[in-house]
Amino acid sequence: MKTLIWSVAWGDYRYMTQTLMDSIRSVGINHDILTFSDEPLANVLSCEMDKSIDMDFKQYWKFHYLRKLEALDYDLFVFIDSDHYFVRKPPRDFAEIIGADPWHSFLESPINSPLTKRGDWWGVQNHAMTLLYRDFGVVQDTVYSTNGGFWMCKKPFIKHAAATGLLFRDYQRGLKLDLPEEVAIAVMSHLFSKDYSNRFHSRNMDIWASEWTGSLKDRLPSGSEWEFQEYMTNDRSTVNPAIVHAMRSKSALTEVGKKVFESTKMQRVFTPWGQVNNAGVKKGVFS
Amino acid sequence: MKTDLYVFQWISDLGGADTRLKELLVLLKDDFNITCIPNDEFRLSEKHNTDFLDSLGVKYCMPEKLPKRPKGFAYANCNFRLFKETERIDFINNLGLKLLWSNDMMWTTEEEIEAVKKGKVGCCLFTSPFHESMIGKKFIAANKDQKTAVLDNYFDSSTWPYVERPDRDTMVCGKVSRNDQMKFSEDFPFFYERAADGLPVSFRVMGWSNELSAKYSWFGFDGKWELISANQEPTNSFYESIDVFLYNCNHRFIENQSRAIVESQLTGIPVVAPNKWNFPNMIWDERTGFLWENLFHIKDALARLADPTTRRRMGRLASDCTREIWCDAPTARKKWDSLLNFVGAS
Repeated sequence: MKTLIWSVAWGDYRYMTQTLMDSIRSVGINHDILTFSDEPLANVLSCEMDKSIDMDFKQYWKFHYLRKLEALDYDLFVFIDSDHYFVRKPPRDFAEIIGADPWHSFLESPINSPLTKRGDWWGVQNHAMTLLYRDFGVVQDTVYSTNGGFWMCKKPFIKHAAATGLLFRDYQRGLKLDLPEEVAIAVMSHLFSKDYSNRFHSRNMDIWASEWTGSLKDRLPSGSEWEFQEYMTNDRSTVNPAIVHAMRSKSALTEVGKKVFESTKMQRVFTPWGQVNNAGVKKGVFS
Repeated sequence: MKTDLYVFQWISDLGGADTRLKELLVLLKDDFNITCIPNDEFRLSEKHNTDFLDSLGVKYCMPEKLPKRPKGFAYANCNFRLFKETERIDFINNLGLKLLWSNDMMWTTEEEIEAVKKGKVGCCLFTSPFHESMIGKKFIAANKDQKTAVLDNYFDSSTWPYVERPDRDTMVCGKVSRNDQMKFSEDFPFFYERAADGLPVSFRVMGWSNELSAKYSWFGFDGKWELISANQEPTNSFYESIDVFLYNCNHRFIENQSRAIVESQLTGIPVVAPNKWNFPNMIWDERTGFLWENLFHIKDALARLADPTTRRRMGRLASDCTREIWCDAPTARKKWDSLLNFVGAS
């Protein structure tokens, strides 16, 4: 499956994205990488951010960028946020993780289970969040949270994915809520999985995990084990995933990226989107 | 002496409101002098429809052919052009007829509310207490003196006979609707596939369109799917071809009194539908069909219905119960009598 890894970053997040993308290459992943940023990045296909896309605080801009990427000749689009880091090549390729379904994000933690300890997700009480899922068409008994920083979409599904994400935005706004895009992404992983247990994070701990409690605070993930805490249940376990969502390592990621930026100052240039869209990627010159 | 009833609406075989009217005319033909007045003159040349009206003794004409000072009542359901094109409702009022207006939808229009506000509607009808609970307050807020009443849907028993389904290699799950995106959930194909996962099933859906094909183009519909356009088959034949009515609609849609569910039950189909809205008043859970809360219940329902004996037993009971409730012509006529007494008294 022809796969594109992509991200969007500006400000200091551009440096983190540089570190992330270099980590992807360093573990031996050869999929194409495309970034949209405010300054050019090195070692990737670097495009300038699209000024016509509103970078809304709740991050629904991700769906607009996804629509933009539909023009490119790839089968699978893997979005990854800046504060990630690859410590090794994942044991299963992205195509294997998404499987036959058109959409993927890891379903992290149960919202309405007897195991659930936390009372809310994004400030919405669990029973109300469950009802929100239900009213948007989710039918699975136990519903889960997700992380909006890592998700995948197959090309034929892009239009419907973006439309559904934005439909959810409008839907929850209609209820006087102001939830971020990751709730939409969670809902979509329920709706668009034939068997949503394939999306369970608990079955994919070797692939990805989110470090949000400070186990790796201010350090780059090294490939050693660390203590993971599940968001809604507070369950703790020792993990060592290939992809670390290094939420508390932003400073370390930034420092590394800044050094790369400095050393590649003369090489880094934006590729015009028109060139990517019309000639570049379609002809495979960036692969 | 029969009361005159002027129906400002036309019949068709497509859409709940116009099909509902057909069966209402069958119910009322002997008790009323009925005249149908279409919105557009070309409808009068639809021979299959005028033949149907002729067979019932129902007259039809354009508004200008009506008597100058008719007696009786005007009736319409779902003909929102009466309000959007205000000359239509004004025409009815100027004739001195009280309009019995059945909205049938879960929403109202500004023009409709404006007419209620100005006292132009004799009585606002709801098809169920649930329906009244959804929109009734809007009418009363617009006009505190507005008369309202609940008048159930009526189904003509002979139109929807019970049919014993043959043994088939697969259990056919399906549904029928107009080709409206609101009648399909965002995850429509996954909803069906998940529900029947692991069972020997095939799917038949009538109400498909090019727009729906485009919307769900990302899904690989395989040989177990048959998606046909609205009215591609006579509705009875379609019902005969399915074993289970697996209800599905978009989250933005609220179902009121789905005629398809009642029709399918009359023909002997168990219905699997969510346990909300008016469905608990239409489906006897675990006896004539299943009402679900979540995927576990849907899968359990279909697994139980996969047994032909079970689904025949439930389908037979669904047909009998539904016929008793929705096809009770004497009771339906009494309700009309009461309604006219209520509206006629001012």
